Amino acid sequence: MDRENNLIEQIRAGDKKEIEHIYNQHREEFLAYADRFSIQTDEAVDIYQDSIIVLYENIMSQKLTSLTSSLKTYLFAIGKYKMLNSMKVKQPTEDITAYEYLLHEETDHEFLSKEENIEKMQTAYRKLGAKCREVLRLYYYENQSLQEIMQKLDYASKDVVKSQKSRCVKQIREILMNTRWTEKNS
Amino acid sequence: MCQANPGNFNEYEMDREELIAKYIQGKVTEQELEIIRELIQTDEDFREELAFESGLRRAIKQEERQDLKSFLAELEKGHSSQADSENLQTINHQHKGSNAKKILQFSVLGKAAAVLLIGFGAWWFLNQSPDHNALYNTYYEPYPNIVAPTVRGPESTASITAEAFRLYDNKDFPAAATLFEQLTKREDASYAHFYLAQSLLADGHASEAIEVLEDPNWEVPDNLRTPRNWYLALAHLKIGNTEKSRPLLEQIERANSTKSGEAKRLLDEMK
Repeated sequence: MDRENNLIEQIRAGDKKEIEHIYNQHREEFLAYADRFSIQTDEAVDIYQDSIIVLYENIMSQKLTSLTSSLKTYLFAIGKYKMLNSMKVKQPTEDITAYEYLLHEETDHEFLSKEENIEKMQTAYRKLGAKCREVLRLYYYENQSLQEIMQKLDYASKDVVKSQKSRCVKQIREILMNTRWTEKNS
Repeated sequence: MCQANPGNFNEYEMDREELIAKYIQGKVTEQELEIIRELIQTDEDFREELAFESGLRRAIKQEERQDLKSFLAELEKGHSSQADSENLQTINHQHKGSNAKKILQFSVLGKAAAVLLIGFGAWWFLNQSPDHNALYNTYYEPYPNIVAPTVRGPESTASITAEAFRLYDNKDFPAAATLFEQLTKREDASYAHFYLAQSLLADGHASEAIEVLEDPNWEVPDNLRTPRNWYLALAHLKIGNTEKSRPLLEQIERANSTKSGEAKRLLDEMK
């Protein structure tokens, strides 16, 4: 278990090789497991990849910091849930936290309620410089504190990180404004 | 729970920006969540900013997801389809004795783990500490139904939910557990795991409740994060697994929530 907890730390540190290792290590057994649910190989591979993604997201967002079972048990538990779900009527898989669903109800008319707007935001995010993307990724995806980001990216102070982050968010807003303006006028 | 009043907002030390930051990073306490709920109703700028940042978080998550998916697709190319079918045969041969139906039941592995935990718990209970159960009984109190009166969702979910909570309110916990278990498989019922665990705990099944509360597939809603940790700590305590309850209680104590005081007292009594 210690070795696996160590693995989690390495993944959190950005080591994609470890993900590759996990992927290759459990793939065959996972597909055999899916076969017992009568799930076709193509779909099983897809589910396996999505399960690895959930595992990765739980590690990166610090939801999973240490294991109480083996990594394989954890991964297969995710996979089993996904397989059971795929056997039923397809449901939307977007995970909305308890509060966001409320937001969506209250502000349906607003800019952010639509999926396509998330996509526009994603496009805007891609247009940012590498430095901005990294700061935002650490903050919004890895849930890192300003202090942690300061240390990781070697900034002079927390305040510098904070203003850098604000600048990057502002850039996103500007790109979105421009996009909307262009669309309106084309 | 604290009834937030936006008029008194300045009494709280935290400013709006910090509230949003904590919400976005999943670090809000229940009390702060109440304030956020109020602000959303009353403060349009706050609502817009929160919506914008939630959207940004989702956009970045989507971007990361797509990146990783293409990385995995590349890896997949390294595995030939022929190798797959051969391996499948070998591995399925190894599993010949296993019964496919069993897999569909409520986690065989989990049950085995539960049996081990109960065994360990019983051993621990008999050998080490006769007080855990008493402590558990002192501190355990079923969580109130805070969902049913405001349930919204597709009709089928809504009606199962209403029935599940009716049973829960009538203390018919085994029947409620059955329905909550059905609801855990739905994406639009994020509270289901929590109340399934509640029903199991109320019925004395601490180990099974632990399994549910620790389910990696459960995206714990912000407002249930502290309650989830509290009941997980109690469930571990009940089976004598204080090593697991202690860090959870310490986390609650630090989180400055409505349960912080109780968590501290319980920690003291566990010493």
